[in-house]
Amino acid sequence: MIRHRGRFHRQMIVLGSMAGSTLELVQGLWRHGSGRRWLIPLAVFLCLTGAILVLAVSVEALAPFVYAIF
Amino acid sequence: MRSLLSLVHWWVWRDARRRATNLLRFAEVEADGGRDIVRAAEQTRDPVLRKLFLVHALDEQRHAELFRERGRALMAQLPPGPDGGGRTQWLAPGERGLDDLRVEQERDGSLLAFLHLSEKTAARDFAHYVDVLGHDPATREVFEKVAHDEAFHMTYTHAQLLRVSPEGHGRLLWMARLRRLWSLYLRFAGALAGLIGAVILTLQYFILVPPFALLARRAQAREPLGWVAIPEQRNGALTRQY
Amino acid sequence: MKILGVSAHYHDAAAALVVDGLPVAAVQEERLSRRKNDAAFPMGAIEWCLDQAGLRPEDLDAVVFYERPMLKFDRILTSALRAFPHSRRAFAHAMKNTLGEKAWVRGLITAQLGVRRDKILFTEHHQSHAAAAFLTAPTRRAAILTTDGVGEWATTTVGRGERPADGPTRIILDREVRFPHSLGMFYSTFTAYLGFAINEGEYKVMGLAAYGRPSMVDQVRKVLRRTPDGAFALDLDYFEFHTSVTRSFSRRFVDLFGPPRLAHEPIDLETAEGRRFADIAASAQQVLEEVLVDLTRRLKRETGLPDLCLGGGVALNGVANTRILAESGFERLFVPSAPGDAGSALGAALYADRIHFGNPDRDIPDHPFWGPELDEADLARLAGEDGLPLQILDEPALIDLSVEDLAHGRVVGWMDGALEFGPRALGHRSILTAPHDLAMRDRLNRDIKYREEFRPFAPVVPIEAADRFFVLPPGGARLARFMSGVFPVRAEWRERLAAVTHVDGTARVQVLERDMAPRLHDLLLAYGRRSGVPVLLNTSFNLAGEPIVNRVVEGYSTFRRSGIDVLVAGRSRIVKRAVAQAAPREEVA
Repeated sequence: MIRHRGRFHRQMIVLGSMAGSTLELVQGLWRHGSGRRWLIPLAVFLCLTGAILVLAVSVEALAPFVYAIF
Repeated sequence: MRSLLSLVHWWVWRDARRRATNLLRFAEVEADGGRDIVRAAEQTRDPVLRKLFLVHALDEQRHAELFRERGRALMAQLPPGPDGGGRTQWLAPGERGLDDLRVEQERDGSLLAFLHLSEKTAARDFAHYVDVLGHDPATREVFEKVAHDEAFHMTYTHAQLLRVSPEGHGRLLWMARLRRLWSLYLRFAGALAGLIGAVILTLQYFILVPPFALLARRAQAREPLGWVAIPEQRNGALTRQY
Repeated sequence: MKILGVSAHYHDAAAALVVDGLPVAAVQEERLSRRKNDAAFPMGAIEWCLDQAGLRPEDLDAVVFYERPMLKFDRILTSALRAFPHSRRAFAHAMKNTLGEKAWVRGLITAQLGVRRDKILFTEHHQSHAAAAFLTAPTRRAAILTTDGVGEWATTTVGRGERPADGPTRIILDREVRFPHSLGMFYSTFTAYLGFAINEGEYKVMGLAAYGRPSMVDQVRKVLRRTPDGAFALDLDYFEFHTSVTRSFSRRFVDLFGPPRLAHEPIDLETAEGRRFADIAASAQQVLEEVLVDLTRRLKRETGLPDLCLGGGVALNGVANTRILAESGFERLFVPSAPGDAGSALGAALYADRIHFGNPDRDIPDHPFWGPELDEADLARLAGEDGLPLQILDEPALIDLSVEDLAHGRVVGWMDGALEFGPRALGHRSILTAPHDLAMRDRLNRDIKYREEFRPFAPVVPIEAADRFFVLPPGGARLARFMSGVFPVRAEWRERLAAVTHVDGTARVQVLERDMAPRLHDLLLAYGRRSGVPVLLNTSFNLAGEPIVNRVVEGYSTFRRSGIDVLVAGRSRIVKRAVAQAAPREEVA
């Protein structure tokens, strides 16, 4: 039996996980053999953008206003 | 207001290519709607509803075929050209084009109320289309046939709503109306958010991306075609997401 | 250990549960949600798998996702950068899509299941394919080839697998071809060009190819070239899938092959245009086969192993598989029942069990039936409510009556036991008919499956009789176990097997051993005694645009809405009123 959480609660957990995942991306790019460290700043910036996108998904009805953060 | 709406419908259905594209899109919407009703038939524990839903689903399937055949026939008469690409989708939503139906989350009563309103809207829209399609009798005939079935769907869903929920049918209908409005708002909010999001990301693309694009191209030029050896450490740890 | 495998987000999401090294449940989300090719995070499938084993999420030792989302994000971003400035729409779409949800899988699994973060693991996409192919196959050592559209970066990998009796299980992938050079994308581009839906219409291209002549292979070889090291590369000037969200092929591709087919246009093989499309399909198919045969020949020379395990969506191409078996030098070719992304859920869970946790190897039961079991009582209820007479029969009577139905040209919906895992109905959720005449094929296409006439239907035959009707090379019966190969129908039987013989004289036959589906096997033998031909037409139990049925109620609704005459669910049987009242008509003689 799975304990179902509400959509907002789930999205907040996703939001909370983003820093760790972004760190893994940075570590991966840093250690990667093909010399793509230059991608890190853009990747991190886009992950931050991702936070807005996740927030917009979590409050569907207010999504247009969430984008006003930009 | 009504004449303005008629003008819009007239414009939507005037051009043969747009007409064909809309009919083909209607075919998809009807087929999808039919699958939703099949799901409803499979979910309900009410044998009367199950039988009616199955009949309804077969009607939707037939409508899809009628729309598809007519759309194809119209397309065949046209010179080769683009197939529409979703330009007028919002103008021709079809029967349940603005509503997401989550059949498994519905009880019989709320589902019937929802279907009743959808069918009612569809019957009204199809009547408008019939009015403005005087110049295309074959397409008009298709809509007349479909509108006839919609009238039956509208009637049976209302009658069954009264049967399964004799006390609460009025409340269910109002709830369904509100849900349709809310769903319309969510669609609007989603579309607006999508548009704003696309603008922001496109701005980022042109402002931020160019230097990185240059570096990416340089890196690509150094990459050999063909096989690339996989380092041994990649055949291992599962804790990483990268 | 209890390990849940999950695949999701691109197409065909699925979940699989492995307990103490053996699968106990695996199902595609679409079979439960009833949305074809449902790619959503498979909550329904996960919930069913856990319920099946009586587990709660916190009882799990690990949840394994079938690919590495951050590596995938790297590929998506880098591809958009490389295509600058043509990728502006693709960039916005991909970022919204990926960063809005799909990149954050660890958070998503934590949010949905409540499992601890450290229990969430990630395999690489092609490791999952390799594990699904190798760890489920009855072989101890094998070469491995995985090939599909794309995972993270890899699109094709080769390597080896070992599962010795007294040592650790190993899967070593040695090398890869990287995106955008992809056999899956190559074939999908032709699928889109020919007006079919990507990830769904590839079967249609393969079926259409048999009607054409490979007269355009030189042009196809321009778009898919070989590299000096024996791999391949796409000429990207002909493609747009890496820069566009809506188009797979470029204007140059159209200049080379002519105008594409629009999705709504029917294919009329009597016209020059219809034949052109068939020729293009045949040419693309031939070049794909050439490349795959060459890759596998080299792999055979390199490894010297007798067995090859094939994974990834391209392994669903039965015609290519048959050529690999015949021409690569491998003695046996293993393709799992779900070689695509759905099967990767099982592959990921098995990979984690054997390789990450180092658990001892166990032989996986060699069948595809890992889904929900049938509840026969449902049919009694439905039939009772709708006033249809239901028969509950003992085994011999059920077989006898079904044989009579088939012999009289009736279409039988056949539901038995647990649902198949994978895209093919292999005898538990099938529509069965007599395979003898073309009228039956046309009736199925017209009244039940509503599909193009050029798509063939498949036969099923008991292994004991397979050689009598089909030309099976060594290893052919194995390949045909899960309908993964296409073999010639013996010339003397083509007329009697007209409904399942494709235009080129072949059939995508399922060779059935009794252990796998005993009831269907018995039916085939009984039908053979009655008709002299123990072969039936076996097509998946679904209507166009719908997933294969799972529960009895879905089989029943399909039965009610289509030209299926008889529905058998376990030992229960119902017939349509019109069929029950009609006079029997002998069609077997």
